[in-house]
Amino acid sequence: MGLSTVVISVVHGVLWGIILGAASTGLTLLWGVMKVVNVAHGEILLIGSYLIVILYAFLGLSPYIGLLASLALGLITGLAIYWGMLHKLVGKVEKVTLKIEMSTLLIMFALSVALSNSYYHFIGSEPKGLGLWHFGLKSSIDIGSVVVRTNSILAAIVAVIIVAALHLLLTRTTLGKSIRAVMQDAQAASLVGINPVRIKMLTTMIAIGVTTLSGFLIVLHETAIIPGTALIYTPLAFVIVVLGGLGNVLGSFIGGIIIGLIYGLSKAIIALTFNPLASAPLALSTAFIVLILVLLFKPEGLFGR
Amino acid sequence: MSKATLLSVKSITKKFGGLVALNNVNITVYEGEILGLIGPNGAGKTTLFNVISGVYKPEGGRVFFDSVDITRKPPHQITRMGIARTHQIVKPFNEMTVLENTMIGALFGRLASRITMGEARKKALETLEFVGLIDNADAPASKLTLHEKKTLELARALAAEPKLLLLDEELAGLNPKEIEESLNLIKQAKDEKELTIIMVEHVMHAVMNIAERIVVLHHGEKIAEGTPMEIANTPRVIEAYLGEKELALKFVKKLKPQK
Repeated sequence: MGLSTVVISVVHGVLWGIILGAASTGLTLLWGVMKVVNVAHGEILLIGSYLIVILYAFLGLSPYIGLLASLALGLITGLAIYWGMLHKLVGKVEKVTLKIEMSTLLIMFALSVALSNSYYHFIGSEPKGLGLWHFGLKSSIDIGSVVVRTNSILAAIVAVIIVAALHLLLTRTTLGKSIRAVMQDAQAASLVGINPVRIKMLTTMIAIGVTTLSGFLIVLHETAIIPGTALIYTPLAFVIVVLGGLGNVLGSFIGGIIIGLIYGLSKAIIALTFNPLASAPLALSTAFIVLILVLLFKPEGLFGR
Repeated sequence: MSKATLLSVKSITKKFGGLVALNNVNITVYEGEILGLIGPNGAGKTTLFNVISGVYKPEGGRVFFDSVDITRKPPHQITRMGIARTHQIVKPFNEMTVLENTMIGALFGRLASRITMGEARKKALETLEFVGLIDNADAPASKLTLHEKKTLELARALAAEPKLLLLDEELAGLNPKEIEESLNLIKQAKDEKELTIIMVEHVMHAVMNIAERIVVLHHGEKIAEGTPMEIANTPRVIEAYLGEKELALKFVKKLKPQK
């Protein structure tokens, strides 16, 4: 009984961790490359989630179409966020000071409140989801003694694809090389012929695009979302990004899995030794204790630069 | 040797608040020459490089490259037109490999948008072979010694296939043997790749030896221009910078036989 509780929690924790890792890559890109502290990360994730739900519920469009639509909407939103908010703060700056970084945090905070209130007003606080839609023939399958929802498996598969694609983009393409060059030294990059403004604009588009795309993962995994769902994902993404090292996409992915694993394990331990009802919220707290420990003892992250 | 003008700096004035870093500076650089730019610390040498490469916008004056006004162009456009530079304080992309750093030079240099990833890789490998860093191609740039980092910056600049190369204290901090190696490399690069070079340098005997002409800046003004021999004999230069005349002449004499 005890052992199976541990196994179940670990399997679910790792699945969630894979999803968390992918859903945090947009944050690590924005923060690492542009020094933009995107505290609206969770609300931007929900742009994708809600779009998929709306397309499915009102137009009957498959969530796979919703997935592509959420990427497209994210790229456009990224373009708007760059020119509307970020360009003036970080566009032509060679070295982003702490003061500018703080300004990006405040401006993104304003965006998060604006988005959150819009969700409450236009969509409401009731849970929304894809109802009975599920991936594959059954809504859940047994892996050994563990029951896993097929939607979570689909989400994990898409998560791995997102991370792999982003990693290849950053390491194998000209655009990726210029993004990494700008991340390391914007002025040196401009002196080897890279246009930093163009790269910052494209980075914002990619980061926001991959975030709204990850909204697909959230809506599948969570079964139902509310505007407050953002309040779980924003802080978790920060934990993961700090753990993985700013700007490190693979680091974020592994950081996500570590956090999922810690969450799963501590949930099992708390359930077995203390109180099953308190296990989920308390396990979430352990994730933030990890953040404190990392900030104190390994501030550059586990795979730090 | 042709005497076509490649770069002309016309009446450039650059101020930082109340400080006049460059005051009405005029310099002409001819195709195929090595121009030495010397002067005491704070004379405005690096500032001039920053104006030429587009990092600073001057308050007055214009810069023409290949007869095109580049004064207001952003750095990346100027680089793509064919001006590459190295930095006094080295700036390789530390988290990339030596090969990647050099590929970036090729990908975004004068050939940008016409070069594929494969071609850039080939170009980078050739350039690393040329500068002697080929054995370190897969090492992260951060692991290199200072001399190697400076050589890497040179490789990154050369991979861009520039017409004009700006070398900012390429020799500073190197030991005599390394200085000799770097000087040979610069000469070889100039001859094989038909480069024009402006070099800011404090290692006096080196610049006196390698440069065909010298421009001396002092407190943001050009105080002398001429052959190394003429410069070493100009009283104002000796007073401002070289210290003793005998010492100055010694530099030139020491190197004359090699010419």
